Amino acid sequence: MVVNPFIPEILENIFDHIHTSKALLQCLLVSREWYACAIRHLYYEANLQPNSLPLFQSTISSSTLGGTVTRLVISRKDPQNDIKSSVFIDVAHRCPNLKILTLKRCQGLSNHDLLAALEVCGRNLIRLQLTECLDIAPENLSLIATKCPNLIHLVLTKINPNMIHSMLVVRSPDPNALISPDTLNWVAKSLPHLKRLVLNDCCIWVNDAVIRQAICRLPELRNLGLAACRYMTNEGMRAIGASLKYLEEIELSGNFQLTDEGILALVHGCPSIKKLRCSVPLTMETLRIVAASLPALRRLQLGSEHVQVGVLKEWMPRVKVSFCRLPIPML
Amino acid sequence: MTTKVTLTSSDNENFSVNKEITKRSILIKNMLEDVGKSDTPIPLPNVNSKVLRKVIEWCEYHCMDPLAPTNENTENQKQNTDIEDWDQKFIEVDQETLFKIILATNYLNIKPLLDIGCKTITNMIKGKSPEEIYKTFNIVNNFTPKEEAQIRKENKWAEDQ
Repeated sequence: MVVNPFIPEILENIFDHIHTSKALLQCLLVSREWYACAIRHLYYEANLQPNSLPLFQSTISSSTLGGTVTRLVISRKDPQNDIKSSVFIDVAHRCPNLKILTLKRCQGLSNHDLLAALEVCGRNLIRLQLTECLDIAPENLSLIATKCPNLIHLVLTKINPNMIHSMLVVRSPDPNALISPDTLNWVAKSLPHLKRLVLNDCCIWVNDAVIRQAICRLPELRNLGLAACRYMTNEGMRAIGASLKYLEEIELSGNFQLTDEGILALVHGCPSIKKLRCSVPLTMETLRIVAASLPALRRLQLGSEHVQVGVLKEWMPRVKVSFCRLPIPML
Repeated sequence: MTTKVTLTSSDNENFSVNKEITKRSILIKNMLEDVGKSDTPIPLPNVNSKVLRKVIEWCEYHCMDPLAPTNENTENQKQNTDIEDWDQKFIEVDQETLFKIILATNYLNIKPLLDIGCKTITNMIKGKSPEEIYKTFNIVNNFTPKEEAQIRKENKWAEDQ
C-alpha cells in the first residue's frame, strides 16, 4: 500500500516552515490538495519586489485573499524598479489584517505616502521595519508612532542617509548637539510596550541623552539595536544597565566610544542578555566578569581577536563567540 | 520508582516503556490519565512495530526536553528548518519510513518529532519545481493545463521574489 502523508494538517505543518513566496508558488502547482493549503500560506506571508506589487494588487482586488495577508515584505533588489506609492497605499487598504510590515530599500516612498498607508493599516500593526527607505523627519517619526499604537517591534535601519551624510561629511561643528531627545521621547510615550527597538545606523537619532530620556523609558524592551550610533558613550551604557533589566539582545557594533567600563555597566544591570554584539576589544578580565554575570549568554561578538580563545571557551562553553572587523571610525 | 507501560503495535508486538517517556505522546498521556492505574496494554492500531521502535528511540533520547515549548520557541521553530545533528541522523531513513514516522507522530501527537519530519520534507521541497516535487513524492498532478495556467497568472507576483 502506498503511504500518503500529505493530509491537510501535515501539509499545514510543512508549509509553516516555508518562508519564500517562490517556493510556496511551486507548492501551489503540485496538486489541488496542495493548492488548498498552500494558497493561504502564500498570502499569509507575502514577500515581493516593488515591480510585482501591481500584480499582487490585481489579485487581491479580485479575490478575498487580501484578508489573509498578515505579513507583507516589500524588498527592492533592482534599482530601476522602485515602489509606486499609489499601488502601495491601495494594497494597504486591501489588507485589513496586516500585522507585520517590512519595507527594504523602497526609496520611492515619500514620508507623506508612508503616513497615508499607515493611516489605513497602522492601527493593527505589531511590527514595522523600514530599512534604507527614506529620510524620516523627526516629526514624521512621531506620527508613525501615533498611527501605529500597537507596535511591539520597531526596526529602523539606515533611515537617514542624507542627514547622516551632511553631519559626517559636511562636518557640522558639533553633530551631537543636533540630536534631540524629543522625537524618541514621543515614541517612548506612544509605544510604551515596545519589546524590540532597532536604530542601527541611525546616529542622527541617538546619543546618551536620548538613551537616558527616551530609550530607558521602555521597560519591556527585550531587544535593542544601536549599531553605528557613534555619539553614544559609556554613559549611555550605564543608563541602559540601570533601566532595562529584561534586555535579552543588544547590538552595539561600530560604537567606538564604548570601552570595557560601559560594557561592564551594561552586563551588571541586564543579567538576562543572551546575545551581545559589540566592537569593543574587551580585556580578558572584563570577559571573565561578562561570563560570570550573564548565565543565559549564547552569542557574543567582540572587536578584537587578541583574546585567549581557549580560556574563553572554558569560561563560557555554551557561547558562540565571533569577532568583527570594522572600518576605521569616522569621528 | 520507575513504572512501565505496555504499548502494542498494529502487528501485535508489545513494547514495555517507561511511563514518563510515553508521555511525550499527548495521545498516550491522555489515555494513561483516562485509564488510571490499569496495567492493560495500550493498543496503537495505526503504528507498526518498526515505526513504533523508532518513535520510542526518539522519545527516550529527548526525555529531558521541556514538554511544552513557549510561543516564542514555536515561532522560532517555524522560522528555521535547521534540524539538530542527532535528530538529523535519526531521520535519515527511506522515504516510506519517513512518511510512516510523520503519520505516526501526527496520530500519537508528538509535536517536536512531527516538526522534524515535516522540516525534512520542507528541505526536500526547497528549490524544486512542481514537476520535481510530484516526481519526488509520487504525487498525481490533478490540475488541467487551463487551471495550472490560471494559477500561474494569478500568482505571478511570487515568481519575481
